[in-house]
Amino acid sequence: MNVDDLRQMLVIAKYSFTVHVRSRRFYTLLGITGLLALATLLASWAFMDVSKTTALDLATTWVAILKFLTVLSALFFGPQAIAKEFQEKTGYFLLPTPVKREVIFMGKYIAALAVSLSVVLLYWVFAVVHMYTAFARVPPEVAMSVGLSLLYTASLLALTFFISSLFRSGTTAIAISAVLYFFVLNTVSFLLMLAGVEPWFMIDYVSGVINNVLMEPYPPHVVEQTAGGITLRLYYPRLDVSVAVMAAYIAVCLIAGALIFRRREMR
Amino acid sequence: MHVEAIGLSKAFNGFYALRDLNLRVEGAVCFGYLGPNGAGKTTTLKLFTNLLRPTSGEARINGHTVHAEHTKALRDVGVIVETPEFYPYLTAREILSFQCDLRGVPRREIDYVLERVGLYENRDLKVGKFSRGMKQRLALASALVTNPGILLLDEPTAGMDPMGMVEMRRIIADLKRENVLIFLSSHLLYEVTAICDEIAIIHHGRLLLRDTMENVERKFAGHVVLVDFADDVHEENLEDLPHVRAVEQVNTRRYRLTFRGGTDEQHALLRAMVERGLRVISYREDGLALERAYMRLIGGDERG
Repeated sequence: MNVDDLRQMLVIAKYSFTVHVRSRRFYTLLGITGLLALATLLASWAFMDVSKTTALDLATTWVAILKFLTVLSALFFGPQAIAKEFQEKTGYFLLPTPVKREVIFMGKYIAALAVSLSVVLLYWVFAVVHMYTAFARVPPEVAMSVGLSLLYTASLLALTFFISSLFRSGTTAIAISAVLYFFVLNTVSFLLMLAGVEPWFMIDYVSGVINNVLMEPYPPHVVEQTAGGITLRLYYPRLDVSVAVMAAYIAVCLIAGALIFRRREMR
Repeated sequence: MHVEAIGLSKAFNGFYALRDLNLRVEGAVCFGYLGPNGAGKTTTLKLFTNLLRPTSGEARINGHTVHAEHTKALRDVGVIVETPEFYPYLTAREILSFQCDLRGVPRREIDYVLERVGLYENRDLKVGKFSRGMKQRLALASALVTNPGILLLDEPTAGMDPMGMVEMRRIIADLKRENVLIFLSSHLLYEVTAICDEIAIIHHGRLLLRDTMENVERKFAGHVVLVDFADDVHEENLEDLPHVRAVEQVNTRRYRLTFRGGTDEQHALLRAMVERGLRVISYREDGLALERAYMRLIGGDERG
């Protein structure tokens, strides 16, 4: 990748970002973010006794919904990014240009990431303002949780871009991604845990660290629970491994997605 | 500047949409690439623009193999393939800025090009509100805005109203004076006859003919003329004219005459009518030479 590639990547990112922020989808997600923040706020007022609650407890409440928002943002900006170029024929404008396919892919990823991160950060702004209003402080652990949530957003979006590169139809890519994120990933993680295998390589499992860093102390890696003569091993993702896994998702999915996109024909 | 196909073939699941195409188009010419629907025209254009990978052979532009080095091959190329869609939330002007920025060329031509294709008034309208014809005009603007030396145009008048088609032809005719190589794929014979210098006819993925328009018009000259008179004329007044084989009345002032021979006989026929005192106001070959070439080569085998 040379300087011209980088310049073209930023051009694609800039215009793709403009398309995202002008889309109805973006405003819908902003609305959902506001509603989720409002729901969290109301729930905390209704069910939390501030005198018996710490700032970290409140942060944990906010994080509970954050994963859902992250999945939504990935579903809003990822699945169609590549597939739509073929489905809606915008590829006839963008692809016959002197631009490498991987540059197009990365430019689009940067744009989708920027807009997804802005939504996630907006949610965090609501959370931080609430924490500060309630406790006049924001625990330092929250910064770690914010960082991990951004990393998770990037990795989930990379996986979604990979899925998008596999399909010619944006609708199919959305459906597959939604089923994967809402049902398949957590089911597989749960079954692996039941089988006594730590699902350390599953992205939904490692995202648990966003919440775990808000716990004092950080939970042990394995907790054994016995009930009715059956011993169940509960795993908590390790911070270092989880960060590495999320980074690996970003790298592997982006490289694989870009390679698939490079070979894809516009028939 | 040149575009070149060397043994270029493309198969889809064993079906050859293009087979062993060998073609070189060079210099500032307008090259008409003709064929019925499904002949392989769009496949050829897609191979030249890296939208498809060849099954065998090479598509080359200015000496660069498109598949292997498309960033170099497409650097000086403006493209319309099929009817492209654009990002609906961008305006016409932003679409052209996008094209300029991607290629690293100044944006100074944008307003001029928008005016040229008749979209200046709509320059700040989001493309999602454009009609198909407007999108086709924008596609041409996008192909022109970087001032490329080569234009690859696939059915550029598709989806346009008659006025749009006339304007598009006028723009392409103007471009011929600007030292541009225009590779124009079309199945509209009148369009190609009106603006192209050279043509190729393709069918079932195979090249059937490649020649200059001048040669095609000579080789496929017709033997039927359409004559318009200022006054009513009786059929008997025409039947005994020299070289005439058949007379067909279109109306009392218009006749279709079939004659024997070539250009000299055609001229002698006109002179004889004038000498006879018939007031001829129009005398032209009936049909296009290209149409005859097309029908002879493709004939009843045409599917589209």
